[in-house]
Amino acid sequence: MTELFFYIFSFISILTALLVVFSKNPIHSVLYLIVTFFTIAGQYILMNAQFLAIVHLIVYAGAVMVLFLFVLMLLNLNENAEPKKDLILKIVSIISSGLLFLTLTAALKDAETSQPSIATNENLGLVKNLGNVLFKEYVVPFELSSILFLSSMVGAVMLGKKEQTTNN
Amino acid sequence: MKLIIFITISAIIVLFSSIFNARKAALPLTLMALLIGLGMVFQYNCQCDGSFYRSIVDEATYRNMISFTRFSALFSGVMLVASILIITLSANSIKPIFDHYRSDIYGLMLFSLCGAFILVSYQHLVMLFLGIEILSIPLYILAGSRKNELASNEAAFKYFLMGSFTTGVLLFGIALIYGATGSFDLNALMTYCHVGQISTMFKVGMIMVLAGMSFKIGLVPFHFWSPDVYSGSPSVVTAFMATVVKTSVFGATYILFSKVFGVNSGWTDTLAVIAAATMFVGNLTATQQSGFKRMMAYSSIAHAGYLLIAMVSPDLASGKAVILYMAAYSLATIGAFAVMMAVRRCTGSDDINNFNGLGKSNPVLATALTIAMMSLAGIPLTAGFISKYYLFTIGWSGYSTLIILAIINSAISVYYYFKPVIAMWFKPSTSDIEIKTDTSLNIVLWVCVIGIIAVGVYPDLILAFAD
Repeated sequence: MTELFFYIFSFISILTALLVVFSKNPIHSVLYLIVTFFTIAGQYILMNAQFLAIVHLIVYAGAVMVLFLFVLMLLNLNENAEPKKDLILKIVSIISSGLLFLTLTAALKDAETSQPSIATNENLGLVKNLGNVLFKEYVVPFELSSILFLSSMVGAVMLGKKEQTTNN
Repeated sequence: MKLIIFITISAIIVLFSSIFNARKAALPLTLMALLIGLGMVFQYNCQCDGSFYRSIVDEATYRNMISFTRFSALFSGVMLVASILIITLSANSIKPIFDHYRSDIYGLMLFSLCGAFILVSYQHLVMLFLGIEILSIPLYILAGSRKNELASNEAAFKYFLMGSFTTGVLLFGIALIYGATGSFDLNALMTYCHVGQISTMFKVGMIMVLAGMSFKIGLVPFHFWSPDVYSGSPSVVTAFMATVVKTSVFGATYILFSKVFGVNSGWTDTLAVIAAATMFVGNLTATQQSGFKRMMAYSSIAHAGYLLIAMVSPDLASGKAVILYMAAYSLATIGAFAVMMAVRRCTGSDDINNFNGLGKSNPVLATALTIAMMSLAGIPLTAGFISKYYLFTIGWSGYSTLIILAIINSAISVYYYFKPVIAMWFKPSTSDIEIKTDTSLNIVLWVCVIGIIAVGVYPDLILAFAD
């Protein structure tokens, strides 16, 4: 059963990842990317990593994608607004990316294959275990991070507040 | 830890004072909180006996996250005194149109101070990262707190973008160190560094952490932000950045590198080169500046260079030298900023030509600035001289070439520190604007001047706390 899900998720994620690259409309790209993220989150769940899956959805599919969409809508990218790429630019980009590919292969050739890490505890990725660590061992930094959030909120309000010019 | 909790709660109270329309209470409340904090630090310092690095609090209570030592107590004391002076200075210097932000500004400063306390007492790399962030995020906002001024916006934006980028580098370095050692705990890292081989991964991590910290201190080649940010930010914030922020991040770097990694783990050569470059770039560029704030920005870069001498020295007393130097530097810098703010308020700019003739029109201000400048340059009988002397003697056991370079640099620095002094005493006044001061500014000036001379004549005033 797990294997079946793995293949389904993998197929969808590879397909949508390709569609992200090949679709002409940037908005479609972003939407396909969201699907990719969801399938990857599915993979995490198959590996019993609940927390990672949820955080992946919240951070990537939620926050980052909304940011991408906002930027795209603000920039108002159309197909004809795309800058024309001339031949020299194409050749330069092919050469530079080819060089990067060469370097990476050369570097990876000598790399040792690491031991596949096998989780000692199968339930390591559960939210409950994470909570235990977070609220016992890391409770001091967890509490102190509230100062960070409070100060950034105060800052956002202070910078976002409209200037009062009449009184004061 | 109690200190951090106390300052956080007082910051929240100060923030709330604007809701209840008690904005005038923000300043006394902040000052009171800082004075009580200073009392707490003093009490901590009395509690500890023996080793410089023995924790006062029970480390296990806080899961080995924080260790408040005599070192941290002294650093916190220096930062608290600097904050008290800066906040007193701000009493009349916040422009009327920004007055309704007063409580927000003080609240953010107190939050930033909490981050500074974490930075001098961390025992875990996660706390180091949190400390850096808690220190920086309020500062990004404070740098841009004059919303209508383009320079302030530019300062905030530059500081924010570059700062968040280098925090990323720092975090990457921490991750690599974790990868090499398998621990975030400073004690475990210390064992790793002193026993056995240090892996390449660890070294790369160390250099990346050093890059992240260098940005916050403003070491060459990560100093490019500081002149723009220092001159663009409101003067009170600039004084805060030049003293409190520098002191705390320097303390953090000192703990991590000199104490935990130790001088034998191969970073000292890198740091010695950075120190030499920082001194020369800071001092030589400062000679070219015509604006007082920009000059002070480069001067603070140069002073960070001198301080690195203590970091690379294997002498165990180098921590004391750092504290003495930081105290002397903070007093002189705040004194200089106080005079600059008085001049700027009355003439509208901080150009050195505006100091012309100040010796005749307002001799008190001129004398105070002269003493501050003499201390920064390291003329005998001031705190600057004795702290530099102490620093160089301790540094001699490490890189002696660096000391010779530092002495050459001190000579260069006399040139630009005396520019405003010459302008004040020997040049005729160009305009007939009268430079006025107010009570709070005068108090700060007197405290700074008396402090500089007292520490200069009798350095045990500060060193006594460390023994």
